[in-house]
Order: sequence, then C-alpha cells, then structure tokens
Amino acid sequence: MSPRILSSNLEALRKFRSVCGVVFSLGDEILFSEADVAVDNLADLAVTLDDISYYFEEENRNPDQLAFGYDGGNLVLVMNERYRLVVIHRIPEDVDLVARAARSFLKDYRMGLVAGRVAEESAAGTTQAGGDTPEAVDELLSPDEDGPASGQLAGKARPPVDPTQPIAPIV
Amino acid sequence: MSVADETTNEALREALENKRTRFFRACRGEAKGKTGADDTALFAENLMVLQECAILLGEKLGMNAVACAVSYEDEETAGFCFNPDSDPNHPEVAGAIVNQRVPMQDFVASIRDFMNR
Repeated sequence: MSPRILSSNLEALRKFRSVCGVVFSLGDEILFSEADVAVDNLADLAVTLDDISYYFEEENRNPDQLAFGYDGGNLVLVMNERYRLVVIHRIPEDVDLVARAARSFLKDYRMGLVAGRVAEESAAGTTQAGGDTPEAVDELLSPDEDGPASGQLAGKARPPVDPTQPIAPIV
Repeated sequence: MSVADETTNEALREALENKRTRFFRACRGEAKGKTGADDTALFAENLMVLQECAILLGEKLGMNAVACAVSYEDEETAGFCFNPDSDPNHPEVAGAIVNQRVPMQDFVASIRDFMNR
C-alpha cells in the first residue's frame, strides 16, 4: 500500500461516524496520525502501545483488539503483530462499527504488504509458480512467536503492569 | 475435592460448554464469582491488566476517568465496567468473561445488567 493510499484510507476512517482520531504505528514508529483530540505526545503513545504489546507477549497472550470507554471519549486499539491502530471516537454506540472498520483496514494493509512483496519477487524473477505466494501470506498474516515480532521487542525496559497487588479471589 | 469445588467446577464447565457469560464483581481488592477460584483469579488478572492499559493510554490521550474496558483474544471476550454510583474511594466493578466473540456493545450492556441486579 503506497503512502498516498495509506493516508487516503486512514483519512476515510478518520471521517467515519463519530471517529475523531486515528493513530497508526509500527513498533514505536508512528506511520500516520490525525486527531481532533489532544494527543500530548505521539511518540509517548507509540512507546506505550509497544509496552502494552510487550507485556502481553511476555505473558504469552495475543489479544487482537482492546476497547476502552472513558468519560471523555472512547478508544479502540486493533493489533496485528507490531502494527497497532488506535481509533478514538465520541459515541460509545459506534464501537463495534469502528472496530470492524479498523480491523478491515489493518487486514487490507497487511494483505497489501504481501501483494507488494509478491509483486517485487515476481519482478525480480524469484517467485516460482505456486511456490512462494502461500508462504509469504502465511508469514505475514500468521502470528509467529519466533519471528520478528518477538525479536524486535527484546530489550524493552519494563512491562506496563506491575501486578504486585493482586486481587484475591473469593469463591 | 470439596462439594463447593465440585459445584463451582460444574458451573464453569457448563458455562464453557454453552458459551455462557461468567460474571464477576470486585471491590476493595477482592473479586467474587460463581465459577471457582481459578476463574475468578483469571477475571481479577484481566481486570488489573485492562485497567492499567486504560490508564496508560488515557493519560496519553487526555482521557482520564475509565468507565469500561473490553479485550478480545482468540475466541474469548473479557472486560469490566465501573459502577458509576459506587463510592469513588472504593469503586465497585462488575466484569465478565465469555468464550466467544461478542459485540462490545452487547457485552458491556450485559455487564451493566448484571451490575444492576
């Protein structure tokens, strides 16, 4: 997906229903950001998203979608390996439609990466008929614990949660 | 295994088999549920992690008071809502886990129904 198409698609998402902010990141790098709401520090936000992903990874967990309701707005976070899309919206009832649109964008974006890579390999004459394409799709769309997602997060300072005060279950 | 353990295990097994939502409450550092200690501990852990994520992200976006949070992982939906009428010093939380993907609006509505029971 070219930068122009990326911006165009995310601007469309930004104008969807009550959406008032979109932030798309890869690791701790912001790829796109447009928000009406105050985002104090985008770099900090990307690092926080990276920390949250790191925490789940350390716990061998793989949530693909988180949604939060606040007094002042709502937030949907869609994750696919190191790609994270934050969508902020005003009306709580929009949450499922917004989440669906965000997931669709991320899926299309990743498929676009696969298509681009296959096209490049074809142009370079490295793709064999019926050979590399399924592997490329699998590699990019399936979570791989031993792949780049885990390696690139190595060396992060700390998980975001310090569970030193567990809530004791009472049965 | 005690009779109480067998009963709660049966409740959990039945909920999982029928993909029924398991509800919980938490207040003053304690969580309660009807599907056993392990399941309640799972809810408590989810609650802490989601609350921390909500606070961390909210800080960056200038949104502070967390009302609810939901996570989707594989075929599981988990989340919680604060009771807005509870004592701010000791807020009450109701939450749920279900082993299927439920639209967030329906999921939060079911938690709020449970909260008001």
